[in-house]
Amino acid sequence: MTDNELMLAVRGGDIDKLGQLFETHHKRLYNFFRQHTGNRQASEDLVQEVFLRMLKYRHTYKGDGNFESWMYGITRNARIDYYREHSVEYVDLEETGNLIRDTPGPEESFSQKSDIAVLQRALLKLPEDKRELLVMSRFNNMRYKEIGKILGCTVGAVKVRMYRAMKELTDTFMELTGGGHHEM
Amino acid sequence: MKCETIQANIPEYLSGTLDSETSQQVKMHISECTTCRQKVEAMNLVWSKLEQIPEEEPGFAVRSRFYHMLEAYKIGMNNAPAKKAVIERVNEWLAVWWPRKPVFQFGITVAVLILGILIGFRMNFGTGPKNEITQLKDEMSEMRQLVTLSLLTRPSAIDRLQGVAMSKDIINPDEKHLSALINTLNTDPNVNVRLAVVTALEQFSDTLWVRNELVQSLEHQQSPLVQIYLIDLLAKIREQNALETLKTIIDNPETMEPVKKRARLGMEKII
Repeated sequence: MTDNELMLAVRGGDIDKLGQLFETHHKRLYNFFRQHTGNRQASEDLVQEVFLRMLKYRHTYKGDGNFESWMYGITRNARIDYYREHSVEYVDLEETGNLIRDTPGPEESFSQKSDIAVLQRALLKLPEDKRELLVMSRFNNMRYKEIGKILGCTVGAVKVRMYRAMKELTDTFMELTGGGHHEM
Repeated sequence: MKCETIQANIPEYLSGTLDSETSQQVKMHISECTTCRQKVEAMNLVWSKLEQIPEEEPGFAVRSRFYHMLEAYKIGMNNAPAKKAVIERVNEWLAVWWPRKPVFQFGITVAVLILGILIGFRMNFGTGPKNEITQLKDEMSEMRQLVTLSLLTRPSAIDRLQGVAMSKDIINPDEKHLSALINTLNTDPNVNVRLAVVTALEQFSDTLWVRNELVQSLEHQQSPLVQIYLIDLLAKIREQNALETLKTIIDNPETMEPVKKRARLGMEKII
C-alpha cells in the first residue's frame, strides 16, 4: 500500500494503518525535529504530537495531493505551536555534540567530527525560517515545489530564500571556525 | 547570466537538481567569475558537511509511546457517544470545505457580511416582514384590550382608572371593549373612574352607537360632575340627539343650577 492509500484508510476509520506510516516516517521526522531544535526530548515529543495530529485531523486529508506535503504541513504547525507554548528557547546547544556518532569510523578524523559539530551549532544559530528551509531541503530531500507548497510561496521564492539560508549558514560556519575556510 | 541569477542557483547546482542547461551556465560562469566561484566553493564545503551529519535513532520510548497513544485513541473512538459522533461528522464535513488559507477565510467572512447586509436591507424594504410587524402590532393591541378589560373589573378604583387610561392607547377597540367602557360609565361607583371614562370615550365618539350611549348615560347620571363632563362632550361633538335630554335636565327642578347652566350652554352650542 502507498502512503496515500494508508492515510486514506486511516481517514476511513482503519486507524491501525497509522502504525505503518509511523514505521516509515518517524525516524525521518525525529531527525527533522532533532536538526531543527537540537533537543532530543523535544524532538521525541514532537514526533508523538505529529502522529496524534494526523489522527485528529485525518478528515482533512483529501488524498489528492502528496501525503508528505500534508504530513509536513502538520509537522510545521506542531513545531510552531511547540515554540509558542515553550516560549523559552529549548535549543540545547550543549547537546548538539551528541548528534555526532560516538565512535568515528576509521576514515573520520577528529577535525571532521569537530567540523560537523560546529556546523550543527551554526545551523542552530540560524533564524528559524532559514533553518527550517535547509532541514527540509537537505535532510528531507524535499523538492522546491513541495517546500513552496508547504510554506505557501512560489518555487522562485524558495530558490532565493534557500540561497540566503545557505549563505548565512556558510558565513556562520566560517565565523565559528575562525575564518579558517573560504571567506564569503 | 548575472551573478545574482547564478548565485540563486548555487544550492540546486550543489545538490545536482538543476536542469542540465542551467547547470552548464553556472559552470561556465564560475569558471570566469572569481567572486561566484569562491561562493560556490565555500557553500559546497558546508553543503557536503551537512550531508555528513548522521541520522540519529530516536529513543525506544518513541515507538512504545506511539502505540500506546494509538490504542488509547481507538478506545476513545469506540467509547465516544453516538451524539458526539454526529457532531464530529458535521465538524469533519465542515472542516473539509472550510479553506485553510487565511486569505480565503477572510474572503468568506467578507462575503457573509455583505450577504447579511443585503438580507438586512431586503428585510427593511420588503413587504413580507412589514406584514409581520403589522400582525405583531395587532397582537399587541389585542393583548392591551384584554388587560384593559381585566383592569376595569378590578375592585380597586386605581386599577380601574389605569384600565381606562390604557384604553386611550387602543387604536381600533372592538365593540366588546367599548361596551365595557360604557358599562363602567353607567355603573362604576367611583365618580373619578366615570369621569375618566367620559374623557376616554371622546376619541371614539365618531361611532354612532357610542354617541347614543353617551346621550342615554346622561339621562341616568346622578353626579353633577359627571353630568357636566358629559354635557361638555356632547356639546363638543354637537350631538343633535342630546338636545331632548338636555332640555329634560334643564326642566328638572332637582337638577343643580351649575348643571342647568352648562346644559343651556351646551344646547346653544349644538344648535
